Amino acid sequence: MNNKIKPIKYIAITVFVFIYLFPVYWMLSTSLKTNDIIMKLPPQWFPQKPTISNFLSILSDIRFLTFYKNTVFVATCATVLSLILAVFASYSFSRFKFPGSKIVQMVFLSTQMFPAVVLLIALYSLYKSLHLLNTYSALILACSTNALPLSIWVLKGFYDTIPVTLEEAAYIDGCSKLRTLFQIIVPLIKPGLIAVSIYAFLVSWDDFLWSLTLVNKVQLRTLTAGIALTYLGENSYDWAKVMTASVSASIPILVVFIFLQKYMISGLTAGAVKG
Amino acid sequence: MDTKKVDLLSQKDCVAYTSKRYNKAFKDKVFAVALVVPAFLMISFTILFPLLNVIRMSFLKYSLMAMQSMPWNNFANYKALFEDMEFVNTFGRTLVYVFSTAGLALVIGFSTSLLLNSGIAGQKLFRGLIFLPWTVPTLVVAVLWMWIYQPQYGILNYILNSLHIINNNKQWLGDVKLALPSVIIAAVWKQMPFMMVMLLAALQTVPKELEEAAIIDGATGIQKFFNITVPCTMSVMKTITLTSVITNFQMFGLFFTMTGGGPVKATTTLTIYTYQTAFMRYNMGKGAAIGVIWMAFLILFSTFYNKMMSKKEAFSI
Repeated sequence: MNNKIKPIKYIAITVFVFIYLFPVYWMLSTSLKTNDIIMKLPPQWFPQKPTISNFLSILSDIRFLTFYKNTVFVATCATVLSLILAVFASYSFSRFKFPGSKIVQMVFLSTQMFPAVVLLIALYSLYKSLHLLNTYSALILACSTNALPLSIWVLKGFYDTIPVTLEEAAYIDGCSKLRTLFQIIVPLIKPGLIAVSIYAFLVSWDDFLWSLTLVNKVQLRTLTAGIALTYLGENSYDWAKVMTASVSASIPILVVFIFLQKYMISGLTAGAVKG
Repeated sequence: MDTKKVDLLSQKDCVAYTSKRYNKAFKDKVFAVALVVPAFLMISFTILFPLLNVIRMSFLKYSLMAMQSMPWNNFANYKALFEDMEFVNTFGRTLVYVFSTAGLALVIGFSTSLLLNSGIAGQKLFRGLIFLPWTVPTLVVAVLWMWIYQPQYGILNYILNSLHIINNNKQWLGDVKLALPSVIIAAVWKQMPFMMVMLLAALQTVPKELEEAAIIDGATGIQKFFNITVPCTMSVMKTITLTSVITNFQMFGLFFTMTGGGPVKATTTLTIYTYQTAFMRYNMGKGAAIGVIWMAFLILFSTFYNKMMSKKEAFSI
């Protein structure tokens, strides 16, 4: 019986994967065609004369390069910031008990429930009075806030798997708490750190609302808001260019993902499945 | 400032440990609190303080145009919400979007993970491939599907026309009836892989002995599924569904880019409605009132959901 079902399973999953990834393929394939080919029916399923002219034109667009640079900068800073904060906070949640520790954990987890667009109403005037509008700091703070709750949760799961005896041994040898954390414990949760970093980077790269609202200077915009406001508004029928910008905006994430997906998937599932 | 505090603490700790174990429990507590302080300060600044402020604002007459004077206006913001049906309709639309997206992503994700878990070679490769769309930025997802849905040159109309499923080009995002389902498809496409990966991980923790015992006892496939597979993956399913509901309530990028809430408000969800009220009509007070009702609903919903779900789990054991 098993032999009969197996081929059907493989056919089903292969067909599914092909359909599922078709939009990604279509984006890539469109970016390799010129606009006159795109606007012709029937469409070319495979670009017959693939051209990189779209990429050349986008990479020589100074605005696009600025968006790119800003995104890389903001996402990197936000990742580092949320990682540092999460390493400390989740260690405390995993190892120590202080009055209200459980409540504070709940607060961290429930922050995801509060809609960003609602908080924006208050944040906008707060940032305005602190002169934080139109700064990188505003974006970095916003992005690391987005990534923080899940990062803490995942890292706590990793700390929980490490036996307390390790720390006790270190303390007896006269190692301070902070040194124990960094020299003994943190190296052991490296897979967790990698998973959380990728996650924070993805979240920051994905951000659209904050970069749309907290920043209105073109030279500070990130890729998502930049593409939406520049390429969609300006010439909404230049699909080749829009798709090229989209491909370029997805490539770094794709590369990160292809090389590190093992860590990403195991890290994210470790916490969830256990809890 | 915070790092300095921690440094000082660690020095103190050294002294405490090298000399006598004096006051250890208290020091532990101080250390534990100090570790949480930086993260807590950040969310207080970016979430908790704004949250309290939004609640306060919802009771005030507050406009982006006149930020100096913010008088108490006797629940006028809340009254204004229920003067017309717009808020209620928007809420209903949001619920339709949220539950269709979360439901579809869960069903498709679960089916796919079951298929991948049924002893297929190359499981990791397939998992990696299907996971790809999750890494595509939301804005790119929006733009990409806009191109697929494009009425004249879009590939969807072409394919459906050639298969004779439709016989004239559809305005996928411009039609009042089709716009919301079209956005839902794009949302499910991006979110399903995450559910699938989580559920696949959960399926791999289902104890083999249980399944074998069930087969020996003569359980049918369906019985095995409902009595072993589902209960064993329930806690993961519960978590990812709640997360999906909460994040989809907040979906902004897809709606803002693909439809802008139109046509004729067919895709105006709470996020878009709040955004338009507060930042396009400059009525921050009313925007805050929408937000307060929205958050109250989510808090009630997740409390109720957790209560209900924990009861169910208790039954299954």
